Amino acid sequence: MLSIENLNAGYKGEKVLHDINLKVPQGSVIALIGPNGSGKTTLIRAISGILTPASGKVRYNDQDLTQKSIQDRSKLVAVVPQIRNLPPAFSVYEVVALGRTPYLNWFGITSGQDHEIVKQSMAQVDLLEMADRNIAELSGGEQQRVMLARALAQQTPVLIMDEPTSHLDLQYQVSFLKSVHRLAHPSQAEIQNGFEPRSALVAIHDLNLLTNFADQVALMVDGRLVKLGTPAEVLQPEILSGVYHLPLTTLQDPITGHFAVLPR
Amino acid sequence: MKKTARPFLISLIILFAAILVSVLVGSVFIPPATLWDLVKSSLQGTTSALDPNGSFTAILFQLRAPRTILLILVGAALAGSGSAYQGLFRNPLADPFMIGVSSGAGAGAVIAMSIQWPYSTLGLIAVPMAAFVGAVVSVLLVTQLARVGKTIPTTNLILAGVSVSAFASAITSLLMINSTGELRRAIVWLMGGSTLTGWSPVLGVLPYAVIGLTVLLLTAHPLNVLQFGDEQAQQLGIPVQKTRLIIIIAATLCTAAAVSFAGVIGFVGLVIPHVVRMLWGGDYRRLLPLSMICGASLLLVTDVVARTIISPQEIPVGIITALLGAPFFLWVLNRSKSQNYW
Repeated sequence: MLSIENLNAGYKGEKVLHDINLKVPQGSVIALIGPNGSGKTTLIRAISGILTPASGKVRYNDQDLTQKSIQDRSKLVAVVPQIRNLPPAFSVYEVVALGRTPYLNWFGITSGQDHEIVKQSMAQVDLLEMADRNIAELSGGEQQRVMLARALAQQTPVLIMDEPTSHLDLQYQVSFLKSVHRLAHPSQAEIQNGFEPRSALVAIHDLNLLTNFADQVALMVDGRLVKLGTPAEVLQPEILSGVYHLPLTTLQDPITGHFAVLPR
Repeated sequence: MKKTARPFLISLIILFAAILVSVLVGSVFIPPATLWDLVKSSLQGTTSALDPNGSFTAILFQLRAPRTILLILVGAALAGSGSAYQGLFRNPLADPFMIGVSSGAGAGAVIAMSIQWPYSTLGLIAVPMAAFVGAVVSVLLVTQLARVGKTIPTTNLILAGVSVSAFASAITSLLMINSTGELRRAIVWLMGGSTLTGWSPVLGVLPYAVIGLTVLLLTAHPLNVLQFGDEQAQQLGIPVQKTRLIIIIAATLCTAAAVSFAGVIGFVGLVIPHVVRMLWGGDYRRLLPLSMICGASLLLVTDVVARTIISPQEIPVGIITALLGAPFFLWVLNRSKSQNYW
């Protein structure tokens, strides 16, 4: 379980995060929502070690992540970045294989076992057939899956994602978020194959797809965590309207029970 | 593994051919059969029957062989550091020449020469040292000038490179105009006319080039990870600041070594990594060694052209690389538009 305890963090004199407390249990997906500037990205940077917290703890089980070297940390927490400025002339396989970096020495020599893990990671997000393709030639959805596969190859119990669906069309958004859900809730067959359920924290703007993949929703406002609960609990018009400064209404799909949020 | 060996085989065959041409062709042509005989008899310590007065032997072992080896090292150093700079700055136009490192090294070297004549033993040590200092100062200046927050935008890097380069060149010109005699020869050297002959420049460049190139080759994997930006590299467990420093020092050492013994030769470090990336992909574990091999080949071939085109006079090789490099680069750029290789 990833636990964030009394976390305060910010940049040069400006405090962004105030006393954040959040637990991400193994085998669950938490969606991190909130308006622009509410501190979602800062929280992700603090968890992944890019930003050193001013106070508070980031823990995985009983291990204090803030005390760990960046190499050890990258064996516990993997970040799925937004796809921007991808480098040229790399194949899908080569990029996913970089996910093994935390386990390799300086020279980056991979073993047969690394190769198996890379293949398995690609298979999990349906990329095997594209292994030799140049990433620059792929669609946005495919590129985002490459980034997810790279994070999977890191074999971390915790996955962190920052707006992973922002460049994707609806079809790819849904299929991407479904793969994320499946990683936290693997099938019986996958568990028997030795697959461990992951936990995931996903920063996302789109409120309408939350019920499709998230077990819980954490709402951030002005650097504070103001609400944590199931999608049904958080997606309430009276909560969201105040946060987004906009009259909102929530609709429920009568068949699936999924929620959608619309401006009034 | 099946596909990885082929690029190396191809580029090594090209290098071998370039070495042969470089050794055989010049104002005096050495027939291939004679070459073989010369090598054989020199190994046995006898005089070749095909070269009774020893003139071929002198040309081969005192002129062409050392020059060929020098140019192999310089070409590899330029192309290797070029591909490292491109990866480090995540910038397709980064090259030791473009970002002002070469000119900085040149200024450092000329400052050293203005104190110490170039061909003395001390010069062999002092000149590359000063070139390295000049190169390091330039690269630090350029990165500081070009930096916006945590990133270095392409245009800023090139603009900073051009201005630092102009400043360094101005210092160099000033020193050369003020001096009399010896230092004026440095003009030809600076244009990339390797007027240094014999084995001593080879011995001089060897330690720097070997150290710089070896370290660069060992940074291939971190360079791959750095392609995705500092933040992602850190999230993948790479100590970014330390790694960048090591790569900058190694690449700058290579450039300084190349400039100290062969002058400011542009475009090799720009064109070669691009071509290699286009042909064989951007994985630095392939890109770095292949760039070094191909850089050596390109410099050997351009040097043969420089030696023979208006024979018996020689043109500085830097002029040929620029003449070939600039339009070739445009052609590469044009071709690449549809190919997404950068």
